[in-house]
Amino acid sequence: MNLGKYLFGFRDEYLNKASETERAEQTYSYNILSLMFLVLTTLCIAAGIVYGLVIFQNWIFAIICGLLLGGVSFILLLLVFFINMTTRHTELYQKMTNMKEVFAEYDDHDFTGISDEMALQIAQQKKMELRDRNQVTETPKFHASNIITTTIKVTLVLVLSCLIANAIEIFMFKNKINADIAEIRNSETLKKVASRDKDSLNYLEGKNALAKWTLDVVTEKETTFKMIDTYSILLTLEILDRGLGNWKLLLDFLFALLFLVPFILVRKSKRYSGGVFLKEVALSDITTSLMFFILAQRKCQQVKQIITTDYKYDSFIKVTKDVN
Amino acid sequence: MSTKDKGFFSVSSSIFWVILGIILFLLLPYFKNGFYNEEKVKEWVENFEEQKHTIDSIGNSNNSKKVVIRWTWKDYNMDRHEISFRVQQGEIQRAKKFRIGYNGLNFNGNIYQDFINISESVIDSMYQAMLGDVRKKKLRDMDLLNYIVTAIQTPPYTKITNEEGECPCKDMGSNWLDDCYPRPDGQGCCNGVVPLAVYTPAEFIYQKTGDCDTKAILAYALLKKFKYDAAVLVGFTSNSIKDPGAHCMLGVAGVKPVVPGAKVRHSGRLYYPWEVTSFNPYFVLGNINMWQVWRDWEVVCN
Repeated sequence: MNLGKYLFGFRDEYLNKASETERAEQTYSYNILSLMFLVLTTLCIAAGIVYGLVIFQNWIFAIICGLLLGGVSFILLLLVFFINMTTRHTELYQKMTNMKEVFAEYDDHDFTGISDEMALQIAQQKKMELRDRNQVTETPKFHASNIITTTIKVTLVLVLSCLIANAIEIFMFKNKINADIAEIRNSETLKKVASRDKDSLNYLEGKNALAKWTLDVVTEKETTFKMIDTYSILLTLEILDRGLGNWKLLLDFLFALLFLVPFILVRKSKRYSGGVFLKEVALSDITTSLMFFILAQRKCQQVKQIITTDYKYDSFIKVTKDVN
Repeated sequence: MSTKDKGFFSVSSSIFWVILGIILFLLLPYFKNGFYNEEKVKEWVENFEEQKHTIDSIGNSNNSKKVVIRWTWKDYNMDRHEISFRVQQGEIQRAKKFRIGYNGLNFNGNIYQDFINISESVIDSMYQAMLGDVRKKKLRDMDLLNYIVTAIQTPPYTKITNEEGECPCKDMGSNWLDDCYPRPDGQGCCNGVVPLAVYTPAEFIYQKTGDCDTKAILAYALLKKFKYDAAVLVGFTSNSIKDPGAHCMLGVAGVKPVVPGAKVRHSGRLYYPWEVTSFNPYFVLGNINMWQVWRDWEVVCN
């Protein structure tokens, strides 16, 4: 199954010129990448459901939350994936990002008499020429702006991973968290502080509002609690943090790694940046742009020719001379 | 494709799947006991119980329990100071009970002095901590005076009334919360503080917030311990009949005032006023410019 086709536009026709081994390797690589992407998106949907359940204590709203977070994460992750997909065939990359260089070669050509097929042929010739010329990959040159863009991308992915990590950890340890919430709910201290007994010195600490709030968020209102026995994400996270201690750091780190690995792969592995697929996509892009440039030039030149033959501008020039 | 790159690809993708495997493994109900320490949260809740026990049970079950008071402040030179000392909770409760029971029938002496006397052990703990710090820093004369007074000025002001009923917070503006209790951040108010809308020094030290006379009597008590000639001054700061602005300040004699002007003569000594309600670089000895008028001031405790 070609999963990459639906996410990254990995179509078989791009690999017509590639060897069997290359084709198999590229298909495998993009399938793996798509699978990773789907796993991450699924985790995001699950995280959205967890947060939705804690906030709304309602399955319908939770699923809507899940779809919302999943949708947003899908777009963000895909965006970062695509930004990282840069071919290591330097000439192709440069030509693709600055097509004027390619177009300049055809500035003096007369396209007035050529057909669409001939235009396509010219573009295809250029494509073959570029394909033959670009057989070797090069390591991309360092540019200062890379630091900024990489920082932004990594930060975005880490923020997302942190969000997802907390939700999945809440789901993992939900029973333990609920047991701890029960402890808090049954705490005599909280009840006493919340009742605000003026004869005690509790009120001196100003803890009354906090105690009331805590008891309020761990008390069921109209419906039963769905997954976590509180309406407060903050309290849930506090309990999770205390319960897991340093293990939470490790788990968060694992999630961060889980989210970063696909991006490191796309960025650093030659299977992607140096692969046939990206090279062919770049070539296809250049070819399409070139073909439409030729067609546009043809129309332009044809219009100019019509103007020269059908409209006698010379007579206007003479009139102007007579008047003067 | 180089062997090196194949290795990189394999290792990276393996890491992804292994991590995913670990996460899925942890989702199973049986293998996470080692990660989650329920005792930590129980300990947290129990600590809260302990805190309750130590605070709430003052005078009830365990009066010998001690609580650590940490006091931090900056003086007029912006030098930071910090002291910490232990006080018995039973002493705070005792002072509080004394205040609540202090009514017209047993009003035999000077209320401020009586409050100081009942808070003696708590004030002494603070004095000892200050003394140690002062000796270490070798402070004396005006520096020592500034050290003591700024320590009392720094805790936030809280509006205190002796009337039951409506909370005075509503008259205090948007900076105050509608929370009729002495909040450590100073955003609360206190009503029904009998008899004279003043807390004992022990309560002030514990809750770290108070109004003019609450602060002035502690400053007075501490200065006395440091052998200064101090007094508690009361008087009026406005000519308005509706709101005469009854106020309380610290008075210090035998020291040259920073801003000469207002003074109160008592027993042959001149006491210069010192605003201790809140910290302000201009609230120095002798300065009364923050008030409209200086009317009918007298020494009430010396």
